[in-house]
Amino acid sequence: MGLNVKNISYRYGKREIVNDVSFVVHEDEIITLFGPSGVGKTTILKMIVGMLTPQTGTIEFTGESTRKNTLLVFQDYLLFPHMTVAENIAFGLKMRHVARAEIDQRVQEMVAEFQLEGLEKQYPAELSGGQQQRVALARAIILRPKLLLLDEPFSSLDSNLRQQMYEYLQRLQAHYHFGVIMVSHDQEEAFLLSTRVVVLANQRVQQVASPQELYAHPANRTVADFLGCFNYLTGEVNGQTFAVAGSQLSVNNPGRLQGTATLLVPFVTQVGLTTQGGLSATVQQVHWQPAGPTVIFDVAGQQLKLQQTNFSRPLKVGEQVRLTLPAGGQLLPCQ
Amino acid sequence: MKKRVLILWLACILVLVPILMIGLWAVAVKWTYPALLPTRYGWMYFHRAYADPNFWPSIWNSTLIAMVATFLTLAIAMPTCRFLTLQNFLPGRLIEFVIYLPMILPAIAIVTSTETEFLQWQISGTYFGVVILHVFFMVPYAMQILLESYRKLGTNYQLLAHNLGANSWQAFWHVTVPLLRPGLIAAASLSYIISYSQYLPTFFVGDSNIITLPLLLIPFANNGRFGVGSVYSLIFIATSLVGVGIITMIIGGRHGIKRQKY
Repeated sequence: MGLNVKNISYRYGKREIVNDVSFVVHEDEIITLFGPSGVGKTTILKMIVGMLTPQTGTIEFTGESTRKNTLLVFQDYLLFPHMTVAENIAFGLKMRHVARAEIDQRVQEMVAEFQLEGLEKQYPAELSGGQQQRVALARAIILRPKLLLLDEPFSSLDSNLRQQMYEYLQRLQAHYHFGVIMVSHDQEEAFLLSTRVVVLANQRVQQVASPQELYAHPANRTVADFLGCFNYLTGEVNGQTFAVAGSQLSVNNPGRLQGTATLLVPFVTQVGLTTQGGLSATVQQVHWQPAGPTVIFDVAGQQLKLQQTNFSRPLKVGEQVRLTLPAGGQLLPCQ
Repeated sequence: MKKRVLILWLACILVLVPILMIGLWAVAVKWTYPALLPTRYGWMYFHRAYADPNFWPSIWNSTLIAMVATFLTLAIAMPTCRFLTLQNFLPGRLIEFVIYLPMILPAIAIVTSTETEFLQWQISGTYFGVVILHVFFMVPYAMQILLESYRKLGTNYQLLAHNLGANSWQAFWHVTVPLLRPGLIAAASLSYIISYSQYLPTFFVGDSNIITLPLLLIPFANNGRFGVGSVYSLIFIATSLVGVGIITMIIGGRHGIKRQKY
């Protein structure tokens, strides 16, 4: 059961919305389309469910997945305002001429599953944001989709409710066994929920990878910039050695870069202090955080920001230190 | 607050006083200068109106023509407005100009030239001919209201309905029509009243075969016979309101759209 999106493009007038996008969704995966606003994420979802026709490329459903059992939950839920909660949930079954008794039974199951007891006769305008979202999800899941498309499903919820809904979705997916394609521009959400992430920028796919792979090895500067959690240190690379601020660091160089290059150092890299060797740096700022201080260093005129630090002793502003970075950092060509 | 109350009272007076005057004229058997109010009251003018052989036929014709013309107007306006909302190659201003065109052109010119055509097609003097011409004048108003309703509705609800398994008819009947209901009621009510109050089109194309309430009412009003004219005016107001009520009930009223609590 899955989906194969191959080289799809969409243009609105002269404006290119999506260009040459390809990715595959396997059974029981949660895929997040991740990118800034306006990059075409919602357009891709609409093309998958058939609301828009791609101008090039193909969308193939494999195994048990078909367009008919692929359902989209809109960002603003779009509950039918003239129908009650129960009527909204039952809508799809009613349109498919399912027997009344079965509709009633399945609606009751969904009401219990999504904790909507007592709200069956309420109208959408009388519900809170979280309740509306559960109704929208119930309305889709009652139809037992093989693939569920969610357009920024949690964007309008507060952080506590959002955490609850993350767990909810994972539980539902495990119980009902459907694949999920989710649209998000929230990095934490994408990393927390996804099996794999499709990073979109400039209307194109930049990288498709697991969150761990994405974080450890962003494919290019665009992905790294968009993830927004990296320092960039410019220096000279020779083989597996990177020279910066008079120090030599051991790096991965699969692209066999030579000369000037950029070393990616994630903000949450675990760095230690040493008295010999290491990277020479000056402490510029120290900010206390619950998970560990954020420290900003000056490394030969370049900024190095480290979060959730766990140094063996407190650092003072202006102090000269030597840092030990983990070996095998990733290099990118200089821009 | 006082200013607002004053304005509300003024509005009420402007609406209610003319109706009050009509009511007084309808029962004023004797009302001459310099009396401020009628000097003798009675039901004489009601009896005269009722005794007219065209009394019930005129009410029946007005109601029938307005009902048929209203639903025909909606049948034309709805798909047209849907198309105009979805298309993006015609500029908005051009669409509005075309919609307003029947209202800009002189009605007497349209009516007389239509009568000439209808005579050749042998539909002059028929209900069909009268309904067609009424619809011509009603469509711009219905479209103006429905165009805005369709724009506000957008396409997402219908697309969602399709995604949940509804076919085109199901999506239209279960989703589009209920959500358009307020706009449909407004368009239908206005169209009904416009048809109900048409005089020139019915006079020319009806060919004296088809008598409606305005055809009875207006000669009395023009000749200064306020008594019977007022009676017909009151009947006109009452029966047109009943007609609008029936139309509203047929389309479905306002059930199902709850106001937002918070």
